[in-house]
This record gives sequence, C-alpha cells and structure tokens, in this order.
Amino acid sequence: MVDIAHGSTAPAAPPPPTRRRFLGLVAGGVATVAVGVAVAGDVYASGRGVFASGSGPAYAPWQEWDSGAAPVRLVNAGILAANAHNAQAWRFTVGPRRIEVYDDVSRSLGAVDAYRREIHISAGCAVENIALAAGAAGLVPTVTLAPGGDPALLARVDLVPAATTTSELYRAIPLRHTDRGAYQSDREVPADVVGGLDALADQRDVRVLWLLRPTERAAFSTLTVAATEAFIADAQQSRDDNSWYRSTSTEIQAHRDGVTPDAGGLSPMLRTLGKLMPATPASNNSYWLSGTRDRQLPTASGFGIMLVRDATDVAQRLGTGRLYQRMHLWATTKGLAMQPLNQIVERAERERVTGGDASIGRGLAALVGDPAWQPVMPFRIGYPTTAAPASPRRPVADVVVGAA
Amino acid sequence: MTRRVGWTVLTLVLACGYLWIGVAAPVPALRWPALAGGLLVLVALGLAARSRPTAVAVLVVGALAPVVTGWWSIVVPLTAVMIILCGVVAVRETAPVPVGSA
Repeated sequence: MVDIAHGSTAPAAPPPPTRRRFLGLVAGGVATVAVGVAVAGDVYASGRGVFASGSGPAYAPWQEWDSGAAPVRLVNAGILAANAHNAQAWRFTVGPRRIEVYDDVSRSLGAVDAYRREIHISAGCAVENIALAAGAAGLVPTVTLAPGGDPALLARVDLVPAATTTSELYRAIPLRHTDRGAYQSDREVPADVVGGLDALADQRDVRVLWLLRPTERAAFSTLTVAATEAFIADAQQSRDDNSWYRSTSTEIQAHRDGVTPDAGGLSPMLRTLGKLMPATPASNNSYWLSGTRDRQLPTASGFGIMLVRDATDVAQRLGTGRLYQRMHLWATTKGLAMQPLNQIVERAERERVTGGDASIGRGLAALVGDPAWQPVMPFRIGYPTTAAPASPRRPVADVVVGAA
Repeated sequence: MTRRVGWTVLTLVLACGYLWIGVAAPVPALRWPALAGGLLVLVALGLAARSRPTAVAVLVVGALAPVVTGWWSIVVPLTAVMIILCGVVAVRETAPVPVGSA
C-alpha cells in the first residue's frame, strides 16, 4: 500500500491505538450525530412547512380569484376579503342575477366576539369585494344590507348586466393583506391621504375617528396593551382566541383558515421557530402581547376607530365592513399597510358579558368622546417595512351552499 | 470503512438533505439554490481527487448557496456548517490522482 497522499513510498503500518486515534473516532461519532440532527432537521422543517410559506392549495384562491365565469367569479373576490381571525364565517348562495351572503353560524370566535360584531363586519368586507368584482364582470350591483327574513341572511347583491368597469380598488383585491409586521415608525400619514380615506365613506351612520396626534396615539396604545393583557388573563377568551391559531403546514392546508405564523408579523427567524416548536397557548399569548406592545403599536403612523350610530345594528356593522375593505384596498394602492386591532372593543364587550370590571369600556368611551357614536373596529395604519403575506382561504366550493 | 469513506458518506447525506429541501420547497427562491447547492456538493466530492482547492471552493459555494435565501430557517445554516466541516475533511482525506494518470 502506498501513502500517495503524503508522498511516501513506505508501507503503511496499521495505526497504533493512540490517543489521537481515539479522539478521531470521537470526532467521527460526534459528526455522525450532528449530521443526523441536521438532516433530520431538514426533513422535520419541511414537514412543518418552514420552506412552504404562502404556498399550496390553501393559498390558491389568491391566484385564481379572477378566473371562472360570473357570478361565481364574484364570490372568488368575496372570499379574499379582510375578516376577523380569518374565520371566514360566511356562506353564499349564487344565482344568475343575485348573490346572497349568509352568516355561517357554525363558525364562531366564541368569547372573543360574543355579539358576532366582527363576523358581521367581516361579511361586510366580503360584500364590498363582491360589489367591486361585479363591475369588472359587466354587472351593476345593488346591495341590500340585512334584508330581513332569515336572520342569517346578511346581505343581498342583485346584479344587472351593464358595461364592464374595472376599478383601481378591484385590481387591488389580491394585493391587499393584513400587515401585522412593523411599520416605518418615522413616517407620518399625510393629511391628504387621511382625507382620501375619509372621502370613501358613503353612509351617514358609519365614520372613522382618527387618532394621529402623539397624545392620541399614546392613549390608544396604552389602552390596547391593557386590553391585550386583560384578554390573555381571561381564560375563556384566550382559549377561544387560540383555537384559531394554525401553526403547522398540515393544519393550514387542512383548515385553510385561521391566523398563521406567516401572517403573524413575526421576523423570519421567529416565524421559523414558531413552526418548528410546538405552539402552546402561553407562547401564542406571549408573542401576541409582545408583538402588539413592542412592534405594532409603536411603529404605527396612526390609528383609526370605525364608529357607528348603533353597534348592535347588523346593517351598520356590515356597512362598517364595506367601508373598511374599501379603505384597505385604497390604502393598498397608495402603498399603505393596515391592520385591525380589536382588543379594546373585544374586552369592552367581554366586560359587558361578564359584568365585571369595566375599565377598558370606560377607557374606550373616553377615547371616542362622543356618546352619539359607538366604536366597532379600531385599526392601525402606516407604511410597511416588508410585504405582508397572504392568509389561507377556503375554496369557493366550500362556501357556496346553493342557488339564490 | 476508511476515514475518507466515512466523511464522504456524511457529506453525501448532507447533500441529500439539501436536495430534499429543494424538492420539498415550493418557493423558487429556496428550491433552486437548495437543488443547486446539493448538486454542487456532489460535484465537489467528485472533484476532490483532481484538485483539492477547486473541490473545496465548489463545496463552499454549494454549501452557502441555499443560505443566501434560507438563512432564517435555522436548519439550512446548520446544514451548511456541517457540509463545510465534513466536506473539507472528506476532500482532504481523498488521495489526489497522480499527474499523467487517466
């Protein structure tokens, strides 16, 4: 045997059992274990969806939204609407000249949304997308909110053929995503942008209260952190909230709803950890509180609170959803990011349900400052630092339940 | 099993890890770097007998290619470190082909 590697022609003797040889064996053993861990990590991470952010059938509706024939095509746009906890608590019936939107009462946020306020607002967001998509499909929509009869029937959209009109807001439908990440903290929202958002309101009983001055923002932030802490301390509310968290790729593709690590506004590495580590309610709550307190509130350029004359009125809630969706689409076209921050209203409602301490409710009333208007949906606005990810969606086949 | 074979097998297994990620990742930004990285590591092992410096260079490029787009995934940087550690030893343990031989 010739030791070519070392240029020697001497016969190689079997290595003696030296300390060096022993250490070499130990190094080989350690390397073998490390390689096993690394490769097992690759396979495990693949299975947990670490490398599959925003892909798969659960995200297909974002690509297929303007395909197919009207009026089902309008529902494709409807299901991409903003909605609370991504619960998608909506059902549709579709006829040649009519789409009806129903409350899917089998899907609930429980103690998070005891009065189904957020579910109704979410349905209003879907109605707005449907109305925008109607124009692009050569149909003029006539929307009737809360038409009566069946209490689950939330809205009726009657459609009449007309010339095709594709609006800027319609084109923004697949680009709009709730942005839970940090915003550019040094950038204010210009007055003309706020004016543009206000100009989108077309109902007398729905409007936006803007909180843009530093003192107003600080008051809103303090109250939101207090509400988030109270929310987490409420076992029932926390449990119902956590039931909508989806952490693994398998869960996301199976349910196609809920809040995912990708859409949670976390940094890429924290997002990976969230997928690799088993999620617990305690860890979810901890990330939520720290994200709200340290990222979402301090970096927002401003806050808004959607107000209505009567917070129990279903039509006004639906109108709130229509306006919010319109505003978010318009904001998307201007490069702005938005995110609902509902903790204050959720806690105020919870205080009414439990009859306990009403401190959050009192704080909210003080923030609004006008008893003639009732708050139904706070949100934040600002300029994004990264592109907001899409959230999973159920297919149209799952939500169209019959003919209108 | 000789030391060379042992380290080469470990590096091959790690390269397969990259190929697995490449096949499993639906996102092109990670899929192609992972597939290319895995193949480059295999090429590096094949080059080891001809030119150690070239083999090490190809190995490092292959190991780091997926890290550029997948640094946040924790497991990709870990795999890259292991590829470089095991792969460099495997290359060094490989006897070079004498000049003039086929």
